[in-house]
Amino acid sequence: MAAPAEIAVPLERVGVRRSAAGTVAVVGNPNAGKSSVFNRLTGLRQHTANYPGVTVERRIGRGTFGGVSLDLIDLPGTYSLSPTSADEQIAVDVLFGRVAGTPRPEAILAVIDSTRLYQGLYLLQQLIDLGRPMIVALTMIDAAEREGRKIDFGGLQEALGGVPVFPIVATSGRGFVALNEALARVLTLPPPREAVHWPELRRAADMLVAQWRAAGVELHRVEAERLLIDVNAVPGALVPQAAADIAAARADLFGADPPLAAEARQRYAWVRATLARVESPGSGVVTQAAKLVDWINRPWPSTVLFVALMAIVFQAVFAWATPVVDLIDAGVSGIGSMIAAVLPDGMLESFVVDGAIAGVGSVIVFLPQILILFLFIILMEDTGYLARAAFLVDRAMRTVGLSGQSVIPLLSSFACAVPSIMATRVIPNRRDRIATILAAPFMTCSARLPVYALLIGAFVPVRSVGIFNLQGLVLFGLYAIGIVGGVATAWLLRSSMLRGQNPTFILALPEFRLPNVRTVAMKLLDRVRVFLGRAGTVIFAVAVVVWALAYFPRSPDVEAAQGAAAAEAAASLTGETLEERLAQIENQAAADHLAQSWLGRAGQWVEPVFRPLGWDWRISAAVIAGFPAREVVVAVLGTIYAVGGEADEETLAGRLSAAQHPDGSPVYTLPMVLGLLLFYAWCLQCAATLAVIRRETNSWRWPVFAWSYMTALGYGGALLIYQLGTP
Amino acid sequence: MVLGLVEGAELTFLRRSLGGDPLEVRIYGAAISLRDEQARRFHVMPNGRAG
Repeated sequence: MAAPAEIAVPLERVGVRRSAAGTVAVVGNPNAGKSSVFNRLTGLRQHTANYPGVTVERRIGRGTFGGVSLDLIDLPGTYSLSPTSADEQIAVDVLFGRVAGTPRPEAILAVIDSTRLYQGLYLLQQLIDLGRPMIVALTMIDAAEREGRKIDFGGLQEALGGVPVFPIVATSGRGFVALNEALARVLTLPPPREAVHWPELRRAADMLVAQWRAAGVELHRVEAERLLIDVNAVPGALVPQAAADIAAARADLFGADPPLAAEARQRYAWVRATLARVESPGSGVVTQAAKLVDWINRPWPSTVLFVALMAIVFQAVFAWATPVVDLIDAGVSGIGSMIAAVLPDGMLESFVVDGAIAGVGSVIVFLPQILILFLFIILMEDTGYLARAAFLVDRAMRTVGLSGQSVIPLLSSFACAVPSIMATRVIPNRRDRIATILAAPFMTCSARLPVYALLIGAFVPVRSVGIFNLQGLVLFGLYAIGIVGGVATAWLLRSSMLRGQNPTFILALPEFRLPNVRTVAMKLLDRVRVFLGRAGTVIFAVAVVVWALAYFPRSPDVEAAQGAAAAEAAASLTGETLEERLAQIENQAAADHLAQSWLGRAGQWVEPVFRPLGWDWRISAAVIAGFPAREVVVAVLGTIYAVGGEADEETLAGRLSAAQHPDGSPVYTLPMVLGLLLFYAWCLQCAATLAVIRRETNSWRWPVFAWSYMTALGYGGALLIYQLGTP
Repeated sequence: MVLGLVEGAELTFLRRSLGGDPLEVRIYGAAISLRDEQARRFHVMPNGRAG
């Protein structure tokens, strides 16, 4: 009786597989609630990828409206059709159908914040000129009502050439029934009534279209207008005399005026006139909530709030995540030993337990912290706090050549550089963004802490310095030196390779609002997917490669020696003493294997390079193993010094302090350890970070530069300390 | 400019940030942040209206 049940599947569900009737672009100002509208309209039926060649996310979702199936494209937020960033460029290119693999949208759904109609109308006027069927969703109508704004929807529709206007609240779903009905008919809507707002521009654009048509190139009228106004506009195709045509028309239209300023003057004159007709501004009654927000936004309360929020984020990332991290750690090694018990000793066991399972473990062990960090970053974006934080610290950040928007990414990198580099997308200026990306890996991330803890605990004496402990001071110094390195790097870059001012740093400050659970959850899912896809695969691959380097080649001599020693012990010892002796023999064998493995040999080969830093081949091998992922260093040191890969820090520390150079002098002197710590503080030992820099800058140039620069810096610093400190 | 800082627009000065820069101004209900160096390029005339 299964057949009738299948027939009963509602048509909407089947609709997913049908091709959509058309494509609708979802366009709006940044922070207008576009993503919330998009998510509500498409549900989970969406698909995220990057646009070809850029790091802008392309989100397409399928929605069914009264039986009509439509593909919705969530375009990056933009204030106008004059792009000033990669994100805005994509929004404009998609609208004109200039992006390969993305269909030219047949209709437009404009999402406008009803409390920011002033800037919304500017974009709307440009969108109307495109002459495509269009619908306007006025979001956050509840906030506008609270402010006492009265909007004449009929008048607005009239001013927009007949484009229907729908007041909605994306968080509660208010107004979506009407919006859905309108979307069902959107493809057959008549285009907006044509209105000539700027006759001179229109004439010049029509002339250009006619001239180019004669030369065989088809151009949309609005595209021609953009070519005339935007200095950096890129049309789909060019005619040979393009530059001359454009220059001539421009000189005619604007004279010596900057075209963009002329456009803003023209269009905003219309915006002000329209606004005066259709909106009566707030009644002037200030609510208690508004008073509170106004007070919080003052410099000092705002500073206190910023510090408190950051304290909470750090507390959450480091303290709240710890139990989960410990649980994962225990779980992974538990599964490892369970499998080890089942599999026979040998290569397969070692590969599964020390390679594959440990590799997966090293990815998921980061997840709790990463999830919490992503969640806070998304919440700050969604509530509008990010812009406030940028406003607060802009002045301070500018003294080091960055901008206020760099502050959250940089603070995030104290937990992990990967999400922090992904969070730099909010920085519109490319130079600021790259400087921030290159400064981020300097901050002391959570993977550096185990190495710091081990070396400080073992070699920095517990001594009071005033009210402080020397160990604590050294740890503090390492954090400080990371910050100094990052800030100095940003400053150097901004005054050399990335020199240049951002002439139009004007930041919109959105009102605080409650985050939308659905939007936050979807963004979180998206970013975790990127983390697992980009960083996770790299971390896993690296774990397996390092395992192989440390495992191969196997030496029969070592195994024979181990067998002989074990047999001898079994003959002469019993009970607990025997167990202890066997464990010792096994650890010694592991150390001997590692010494003649590819990794051990590599350590011996490069030892001369690190000799001036006071390192022996063991430290060199551990450092090499740590280049793809710095956190493996502790485990490698444990194996090399024959105390087992999971030895506790005390045992390992004891073994380390006994280590000697061939001439009998101790390896781990204070200058050498301080140098090694500095090396860790400044070196970019993280393949996942490099992979994310590659993805976010879309070139190999920056990861290569960051790696070489930071390695040189770490080496130089360690060399200096060791040579100065060693008599 | 695309945010609407153009000739004839009315704006309300709200506050300065930490260290006196940038400024926060409200333009037809929308708050925007403006660095000192940019704010200097504008001519602002008081119109006497509050809020």
